[in-house]
Amino acid sequence: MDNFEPKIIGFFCNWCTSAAADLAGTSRLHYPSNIRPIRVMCSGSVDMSYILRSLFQGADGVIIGGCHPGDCHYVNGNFKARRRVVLLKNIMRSLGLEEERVWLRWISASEGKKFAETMNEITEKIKALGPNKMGTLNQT
Amino acid sequence: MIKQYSGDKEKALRTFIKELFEKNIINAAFLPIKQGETAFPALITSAEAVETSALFLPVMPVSSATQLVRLTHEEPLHKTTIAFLRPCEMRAAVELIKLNQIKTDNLIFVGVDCEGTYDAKDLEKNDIREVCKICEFPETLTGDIKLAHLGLDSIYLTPISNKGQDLLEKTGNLEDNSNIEKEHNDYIEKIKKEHLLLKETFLKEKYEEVKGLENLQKYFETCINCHNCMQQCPICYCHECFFDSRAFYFKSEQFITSAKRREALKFPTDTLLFHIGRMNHMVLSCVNCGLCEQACPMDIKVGQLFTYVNAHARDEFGYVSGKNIEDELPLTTYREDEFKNVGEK
Ligand code: SF4
Ligand code: SF4
Ligand code: SF4
Ligand code: FES
Repeated sequence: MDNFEPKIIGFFCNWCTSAAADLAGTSRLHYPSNIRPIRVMCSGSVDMSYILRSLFQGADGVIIGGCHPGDCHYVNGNFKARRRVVLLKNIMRSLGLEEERVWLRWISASEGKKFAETMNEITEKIKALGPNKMGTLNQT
Repeated sequence: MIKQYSGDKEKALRTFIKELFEKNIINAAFLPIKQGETAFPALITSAEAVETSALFLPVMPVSSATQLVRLTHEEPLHKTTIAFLRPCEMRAAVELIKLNQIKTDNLIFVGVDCEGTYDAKDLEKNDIREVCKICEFPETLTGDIKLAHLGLDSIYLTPISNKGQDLLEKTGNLEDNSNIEKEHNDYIEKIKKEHLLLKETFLKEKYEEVKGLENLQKYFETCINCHNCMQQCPICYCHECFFDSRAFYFKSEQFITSAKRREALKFPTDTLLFHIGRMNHMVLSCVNCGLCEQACPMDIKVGQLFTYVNAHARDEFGYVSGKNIEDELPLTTYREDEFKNVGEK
């Protein structure tokens, strides 16, 4: 398992975390290639079914990146996203599933460094958790 | 203040409704009527039609709350209509009103005591449904009028809103009857206590039964993905369910890729995704009515699972579905200063 390379899906808000990813790239800040970014218009536009489907289809971890509280371009999308993630984690806990595989982080467009650090951090944590068995189950 | 009708409960109810029609207090009534061995909600517009009422038959094939969505979908009712709902139907109605799915103009809600119902497709089974055994709400929490009868010799109507007060006053004098109120209250408290104890055990046992992927898979092993559970759920009101939409159609190569990751890719696919996804949409509003379970052709205990998941979600958000029309739906609102542990390190 030492060379286990987790797949991590990132749902990144167009206005902040996606821009931070670009900034990290142009600033030559290293972050792992385990992260597969998907650009979304707002963290509040992500239905939790997409998180679940990622986990059932082989993602070992999922991270939603949104604007800091107060900075959402659609006023409160990030606050609503936070409630949805809290509920998803609560449900996963009730079902005995590994909620630690689901992350939410606020990363603004100027936080290239925070982006790189966060991606390193999640990659390490998910590596330690090992492969996600939801992705190898016969039943999806 | 209470309005009392004495004698056999069903007959007393008919007397009450007849009186409402005869005095022109109502234009229509919405209540269960006998259909073969069971009872279905029906709209009646005359005193004569009340003779087939079956409000006290312990069976609930569909939720009256769902039917009220259809009844008022195109326009509100023009004239006074009185609707009789069990506590879980009343709670579902409250959630649906918040979701702008029931137009309440000219509707008078009567919340009727309920001690549990039998499985509509297995009436022979001499036992109430599992979700009813752990129900915490044998009497209504909201509405315009409370119809109390559990532990009592007949039916007793108490106004719980101004609308209810107006309607009852038109039928004549209300009496003070604190003895009856106390008797009823004691009986309700007794049931609640018993049910709460059973629910505690239920929650522990359900966790053991379902926890972890293997168990979860086993729980839904025979699911044929018919979505009947969603169709019959009063809270799942969406005209097109997200899980029936094109978002869940995939290219053959995507199925192949998915199959490569496992021993075999079982079809129908995305059943667990449907159930857990559905929970994410509506479990905070789940009223524990178990109609999903009753509608399942494969006898999957889906209502028990949603009831279990609801109990924990309810604690985290401090939101009891159907309890109070003023409480905001948790997923349509937020506080800036909450759940700080999610989003930050
Ligand atoms: S999920 Fe099942 S128990 Fe919950 S409200 Fe819907 S039908 Fe009733
Ligand atoms: S599962 Fe979700 S999308 Fe489908 S009917 Fe229920 S609430 Fe609507
Ligand atoms: S009703 Fe039963 S078989 Fe049909 S989708 Fe729901 S759980 Fe599966
Ligand atoms: S616009 Fe970035 S989270 Fe809403």
